[in-house]
Order: sequence, then C-alpha cells, then structure tokens
Amino acid sequence: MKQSKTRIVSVAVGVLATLSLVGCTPGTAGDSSDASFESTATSSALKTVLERGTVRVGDCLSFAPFGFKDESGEPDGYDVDIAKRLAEDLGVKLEVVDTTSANRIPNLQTDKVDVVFCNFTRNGERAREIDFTDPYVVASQALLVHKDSGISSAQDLPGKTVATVKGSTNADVLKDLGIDVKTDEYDTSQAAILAVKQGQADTMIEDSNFLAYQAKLNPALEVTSDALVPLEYNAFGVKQGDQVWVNYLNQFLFRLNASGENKSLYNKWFGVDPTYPLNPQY
Amino acid sequence: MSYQWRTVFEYLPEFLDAMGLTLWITLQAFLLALVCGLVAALARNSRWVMFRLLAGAYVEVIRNTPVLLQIFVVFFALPSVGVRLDAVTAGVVAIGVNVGAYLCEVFRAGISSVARGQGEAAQVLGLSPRQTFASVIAPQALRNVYPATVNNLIQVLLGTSLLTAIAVPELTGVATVINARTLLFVQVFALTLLLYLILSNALSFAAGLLGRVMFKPALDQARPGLWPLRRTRPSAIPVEVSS
Repeated sequence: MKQSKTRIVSVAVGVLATLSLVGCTPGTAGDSSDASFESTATSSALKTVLERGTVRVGDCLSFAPFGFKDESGEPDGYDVDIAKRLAEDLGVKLEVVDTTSANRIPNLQTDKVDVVFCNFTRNGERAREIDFTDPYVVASQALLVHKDSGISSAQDLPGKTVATVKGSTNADVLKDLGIDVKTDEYDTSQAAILAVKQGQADTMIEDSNFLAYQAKLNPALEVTSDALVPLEYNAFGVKQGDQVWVNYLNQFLFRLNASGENKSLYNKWFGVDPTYPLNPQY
Repeated sequence: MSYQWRTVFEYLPEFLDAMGLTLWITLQAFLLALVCGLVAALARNSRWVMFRLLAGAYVEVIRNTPVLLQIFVVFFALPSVGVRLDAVTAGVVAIGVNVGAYLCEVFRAGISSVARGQGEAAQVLGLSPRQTFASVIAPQALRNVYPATVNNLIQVLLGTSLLTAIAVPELTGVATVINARTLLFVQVFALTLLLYLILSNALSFAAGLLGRVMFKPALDQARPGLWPLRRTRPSAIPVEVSS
C-alpha cells in the first residue's frame, strides 16, 4: 500500500517535470496560450454575467446604511438596493459578496466579484489599478448639529466644542480653515454622536452621508449643507480594461438617476434628498 | 536615544498637562468620596431607619454597578433631566460618588472596630454624643482604617483613566490620542505607565507622611527599606482587655 503511494507520487513528479519542460519551450504551446489570454480579455464581464445568470456584487455589509445584514441575516441597505436594481436590469440573479474597504480592489483583480459598490471614492491612485463608472452618490465632510443650535456653517463654529473620534483627522479641516474650536476626542463615533445629542458637544464632523443617516435615527439632530472638504464622488469599481462592462454600468446608472429612482432610494435610507449634485458645477 | 523615543518625548508637555489634570481630578474626587463616605457611614449607624435605608441603598446601588456605566449616566444621561455637567465635573462626581460607597463601608468597619467600652467611658465622663464621636471614636476609627482609605485614594487615581471614555484629556485619554497620532504604542504606553507609577507612588508616599504626622504613636506600616516610614516602631494601640 505504502509502496504504491510512493509510486504514484513519483509518477506525478515525472509528469509535472515533463509539462514544465514543454511550457518552457518556445513555439506552438506558447502561442496558443497567448491566444486564449487574448480571448478572455476581449470577452466582457457583461457576457460572463449573462451566461452565468448571476451578477456578483461586492458590498460592504458592515457599513450601515450602505450595506448591512438585517435581522434575518440577509444583506440590506442603500448599496444592496441598487445591486438589486442592477440584477433586475440584467435579468439575472444577485449574489452579494461581503467586502471590506481593504479588499475591494483585490476582489476585483482576482475576479471574485464582477463589480464593487461600497461607497467607493474615485481617486487617481485607485484609477491606476481598476476602472470606475460614473458617480452614483456624493459625499463630503459635514457638521452634525442639534436642530436648535443655530449652527449652519463652519463660520458659526469659533469657540464651540467639536466632538471627534480619537485618531481621526476630521477636526483638522477646521484648523486648515483657521477656525478655532475645542475638540473632545471620544472612543467611538457613537459616543461622539451621543455627546452632540445630549448637548455635551456642539457639533461633530464626519462623512455627510453617514451623518445624514444618524440624523434620520435621531430626529433632534440635523446635518448642515456646507461641504467642509472637496466633494468625493463615489462610484462602482470594476476590473481594469473592460470598457463594455463599464459602458453598460454607466448607462444603467444614467437610467437609475434619470428616472429619479436613485434619489428615492437615497431618501429611503438617509431620510433626506441627496445634498450635493452628482455632477460637479463649474 | 532612538527617534521613536525622541518623538514621544516631544509630546512630554502634553503628557505633563494631562498628569496635572489627572492629579487635580483625583484630589477633588477623593475629597468628595471622603464626604460621601463619612455621611453615608454615619447614616448607616443612625438611629433613624430612614437614614439607614437611604445610606444602604446608596452603597448597594453604587457598589454593585460598573463605574464606567455610572460615568456614562452622569455625563450622557443627566442632560436629559436638565443636569448638564462638563466632562471633568461629571468625572469628579461619578468617581467621587462611586468611591464614597466603598469608603462608607470602610468607615463603618472602622467605627465598629473601636471597642464599645470607649464610647461608654466617654459617656460616663459626661461627653455629649457629638464630642464622643469627634474626640474618642473617630480618631481611633480613622487610625484603624487609614491604610484602607489610602487604598481607595489610589483606586480613585487609577479610576480616572476611565474618563477617557467621556473625552476628558487626562493621562490615559491623552496617551490614546498621542498613540493614534504616532502609532508608537510601546513608547507611548510605557511612558504613560511610568507617569502613573510616579503619581501613585507620590500619593501613597504623601499619605504615609501624613499618617506619620497624624497618628501618635505612629502607624505600624509595612514598607520597603527605602521609605522614611521604616523607622516606625511596633505600635502601642490600646488593647481591649477581655473580662
């Protein structure tokens, strides 16, 4: 028994060695593998998705309300709703792949997902690795304040107390604007929000969409509309070099925006209409 | 010195400010704890049942719930009923009231450790109940529970580290912020631990000196040889003679 096992292993090693030799020799074998690589590159993810009958969408399910798991463990949220519309549009089934911020790009590059949503901000660094569609949601840093606080923009802040999270650089925005405030650094964003809610701090600076959701959960709070930092345009990410798929997703987004469906989905999850327009104003 | 340590030492002024705030909060909170503990201990020994019940409830509620939660209640929940304390005051109140409950039990034990005959003798000599307590019972009781009281002082000092949760810039809070900025956690937390050690040893050293001055004959305290208290002689506390 033991001997036969050994023999199988030695045969396998021999076969592998032969194959590797073949792989090394230039000529017909090399040419044919190049050709097959060419053909997969031209075949779009669109075709693959339609043939497979399933679209695999990478969503961050630990980032409410963009993505989270509901009471029964099913994916839900703003991004998940858009993913459902996309699957409907393609006429295929939806497979939501739970993703984290850190593995959004690796998941695309290794073909684990067809497209990534995840509040994905477009920037040059990332655009060198993957392709982005048109934006579907816009974010900035905004102020969360009490409704009766009288604070409507950063100009009202001098001398006020700003709640931030330890290690975050959100309050540096104000320093850059030359506005002098007292910062209280809390352990979690929930504690900082609670401090604003209970009047222990005057305001909190965070991602505008995140704050809109918090204001929806706490009706006594509201988000000011002035953007403290340049707007971030968040889009779908796809594997680099698949223009057919990008074109399809762009015109899907165009229809989603033109029909007002995106706006109503945003309103459903964030309790207000989108604050910033999807296209930059010159 | 490596650049990591140099970087951390650039933050030394912030560490020292935080250390000062920690000490200031500790002293205020401990003063409040002494008052709470003394009042509650007297109330628990009161002849009015209402006082006994109130003091009992105070001790049992405060001693049996986490101090971090009490800090959250004072800072985050009290504004809902119209009491808004800033973070430092909220911390002083929460920790003072918390340690007061422990001190209440310490003081109560001290009072009952004084031989019954002492009180009776004072009564026979014509001292009023107030005089009896102030000049006969309390000095002996305090002497008996002095080491336990100093323990509670150290507990207050270390407890102030929890105030980082309500954004008080005390030593631990400032250390976590500097750690988040520099990510030099070994150096940052090593320095913080050292500063806490300096603070707590300075406090117990001062308490030891105070005890030496306050109590005649001196307290019999076990201390390593370095300490000035090592010359204490075995104490001559009056011993109750059993009949």
